[in-house]
Amino acid sequence: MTPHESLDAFIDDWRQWVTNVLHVGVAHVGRRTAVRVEDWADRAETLGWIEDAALARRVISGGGPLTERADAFVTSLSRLELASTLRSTVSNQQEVQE
Amino acid sequence: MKLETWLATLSDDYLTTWGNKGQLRRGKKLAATGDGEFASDQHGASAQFDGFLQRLDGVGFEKLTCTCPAAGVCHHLMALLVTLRDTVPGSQLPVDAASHHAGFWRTASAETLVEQLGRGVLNQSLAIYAKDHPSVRLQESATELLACVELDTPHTVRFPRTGTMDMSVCSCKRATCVHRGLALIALRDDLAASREIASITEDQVELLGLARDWLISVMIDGQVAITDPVMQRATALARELRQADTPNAATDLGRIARTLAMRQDILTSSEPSEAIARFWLTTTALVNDRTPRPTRELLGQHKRDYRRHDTLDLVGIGSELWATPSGYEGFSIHFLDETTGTPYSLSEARNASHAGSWRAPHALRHAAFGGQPAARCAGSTFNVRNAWLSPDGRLSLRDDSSVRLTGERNTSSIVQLAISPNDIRPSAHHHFPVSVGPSPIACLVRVRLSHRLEFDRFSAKWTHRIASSLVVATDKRDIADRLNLDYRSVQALYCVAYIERAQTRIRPISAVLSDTLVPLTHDTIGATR
Repeated sequence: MTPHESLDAFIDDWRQWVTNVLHVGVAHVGRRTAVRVEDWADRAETLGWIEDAALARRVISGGGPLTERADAFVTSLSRLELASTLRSTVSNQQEVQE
Repeated sequence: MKLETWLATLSDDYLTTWGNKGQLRRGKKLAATGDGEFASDQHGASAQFDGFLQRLDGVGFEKLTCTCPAAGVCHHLMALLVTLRDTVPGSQLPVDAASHHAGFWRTASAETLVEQLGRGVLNQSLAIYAKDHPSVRLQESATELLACVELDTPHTVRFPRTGTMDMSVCSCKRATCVHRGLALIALRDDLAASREIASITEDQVELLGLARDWLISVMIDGQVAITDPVMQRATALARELRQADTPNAATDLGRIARTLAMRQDILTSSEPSEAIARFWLTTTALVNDRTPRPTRELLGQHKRDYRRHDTLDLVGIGSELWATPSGYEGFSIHFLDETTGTPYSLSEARNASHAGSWRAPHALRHAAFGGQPAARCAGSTFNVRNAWLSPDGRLSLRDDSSVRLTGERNTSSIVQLAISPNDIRPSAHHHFPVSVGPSPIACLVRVRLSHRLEFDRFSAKWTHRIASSLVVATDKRDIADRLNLDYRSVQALYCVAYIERAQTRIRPISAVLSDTLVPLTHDTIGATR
């Protein structure tokens, strides 16, 4: 897997759990989704996406107030959109250079 | 630019700045004698005063020549211009007609201004502006931008509202000069400062907070738990946000509620999360008072703030049928301002669930504009009295409005109104003529297609990249087929520009193919030469 494909896969995984949570709500995140988010957060941390890993963990943390978890979720979703946009821009520029 | 439009800018003050008072007085006197021979057409004029030949071969002072021995401006040329100004029909432009032009100083791209002014002159002006802080007094009127530049000696620069940089005059008498450069730099500074004036009020902050709370509550229980009361709350908040002069947040909130309530498989649509992200990031910046962009741009501008204009000359450019995901269907007839190339559209729409027997294709077939079937108005020219225009280019006709068919415009002159693909940029780039933001925007753009449009499976559209960040895209096969048939002949596209996945895309509505203006939508018949 090339670095680009690896980044695309990372962003795709991010989008998938965000979409799941958007559908069911942070108050009703199922066990399977929580595991998936935890795995993704581990990977994010390894890749240096420290803040995004922390946000993801806050979304699934059982103890915190729901409003704070929802706040962390919307922030994570917004950062995902920024990352996707940045990725598309870089990809477009590479296509042009090629 | 038309000759009569330029002549309409030639006030006595303007001519005095170009020449001097004495030359204008002598020129008027000479013109009043009626001794000289005089001839004119739409492209220029010639005259013979005092035995010398004067010619105007086009539009602008640089197109003037006189065979008399004087170097530069002479009273013979003044006599020619005064005669033209007083005799050519249409050159006595009413103030109101000029006032609806934004002025090239607002609409021209930075590149265009640099090109017209000269990079050397601009650099020199920038250096003087930064080092000496010269006093530049600016005054915008209905007909011109007047700048008084105090350098070593005071100089007056006049920029006509309906003209371009070439039509500007300076009391230093040079064709291009640092006074012009200083005036434009000072103006851009003023415009940038005025954009920052908008500040957010406590009421707006409170409302934005309530809207953010609504979003948080929806995120807690998710899309599956959206109920009618939740939707009604969003609708009420969106209305209040709009009334509180924060239309961008209102639009995004409405979009979030609509797309989430559709309960479609959100895995197939990125629209809800894009709208949520835009709403969240924008309102976070506004609420925290740390705006990365001008506050007014984040708050937004009301689309429907219509203002009346006494008279407007338009050329028809095409029409299209459309439908929105929120259930509206309708049609739009597209026009360009004949002088400035500004796009306007006249639309009619209904909510499909309440439309009864009304259908957009049928309504478009029977709609008329100035007595002309609306679907056939491409290439026709119209004069609209009492036109109501909104900032985002919508045209509305009311009880006191009237439309008159005035003729036809040839296609090559329509192409002259087109902008370059490089003039289209995302909205952060304020100095570009077409700044594309969250809402789509129409424009006529010069385009060369190097190959056929190709089908992109990912976006399910036929696409063609025409610049590094600009892509022609259509989801209509018949439009792609029509363009592909003659792709080598495409000179310009009338299109709607929008942002999708960090790319500026243009959706074609009409095309200029060779010398023919071709409406591309399937329900629009006819073409004009």
